Amino acid sequence: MEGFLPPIWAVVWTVLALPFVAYGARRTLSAVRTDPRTKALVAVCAAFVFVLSALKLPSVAGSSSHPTGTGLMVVLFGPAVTAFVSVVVLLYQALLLAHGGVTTLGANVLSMGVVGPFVGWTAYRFVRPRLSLERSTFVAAAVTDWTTYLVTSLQLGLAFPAGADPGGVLASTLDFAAVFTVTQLPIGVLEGLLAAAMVGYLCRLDTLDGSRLGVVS
Amino acid sequence: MRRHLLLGVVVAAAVFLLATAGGDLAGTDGQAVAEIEERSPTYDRWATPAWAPDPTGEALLFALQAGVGAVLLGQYLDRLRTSDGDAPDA
Repeated sequence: MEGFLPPIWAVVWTVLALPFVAYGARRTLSAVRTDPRTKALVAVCAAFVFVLSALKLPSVAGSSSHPTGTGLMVVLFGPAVTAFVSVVVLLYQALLLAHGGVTTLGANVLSMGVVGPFVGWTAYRFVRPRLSLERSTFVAAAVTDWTTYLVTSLQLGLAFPAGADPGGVLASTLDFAAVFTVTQLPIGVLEGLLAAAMVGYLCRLDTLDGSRLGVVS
Repeated sequence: MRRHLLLGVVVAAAVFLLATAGGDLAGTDGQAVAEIEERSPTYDRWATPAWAPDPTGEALLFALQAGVGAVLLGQYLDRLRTSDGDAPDA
């Protein structure tokens, strides 16, 4: 997607993403310094993002796409830390794989690292009192994945509106969303299942000090 | 440590096979680009990647990413299994 976001939008999304990334970097550093177990847990979540976002999954309608892998980190550490980790992954893919892009980095960080995780985290907070940890994590990861791609659609809709009015932006956003959604719906479900399995495993390892990580109320 | 490296190699191989097998499937990124070009045929692409791997290289780099991730995952899960989370004997 390198170069496919008009310069003005590249600047806008980068500027908007910067404060979240800076705050996320601070939160990540303080989490890593808390104690060795928390540090190991951060590493596990980051590695989970690394593995999942590398998967190029075939999906329905003869298309393929990537999971985001951010759901687990959202549940255990919240959106800020996720913003920072997503920069690392997106930079790797932009620089080495020509995937995503440097000019689209701000937009991608905002969708995959900020808005997606924040909405997923909000959904998690909402369902957690009613559902088990695993089920809540499933919801968080699926919502995070879908929201990420909806934000991407909105960003493309804003850059390439069907008309000058807000209706043109909406129409275009829905067109782009149609491109992503078909592929992303099942991938989001898969991501939810994997994140839920992982969080269940971590629980059985007795690694989650719930009160500190806000996992168990 | 050897166990984790083995895990990394297995995961990397699986990701490589998955990426090459799905090679002819249209990625959503490409579909979005097609949508942009249909919408704005005159759009001037103002930046291109300085370097882009061929499809096999791309699959290999994705495999590397997943393999490194898997090694780290195994290693730090091991640390969590020990009582204090510090580096185990290995």
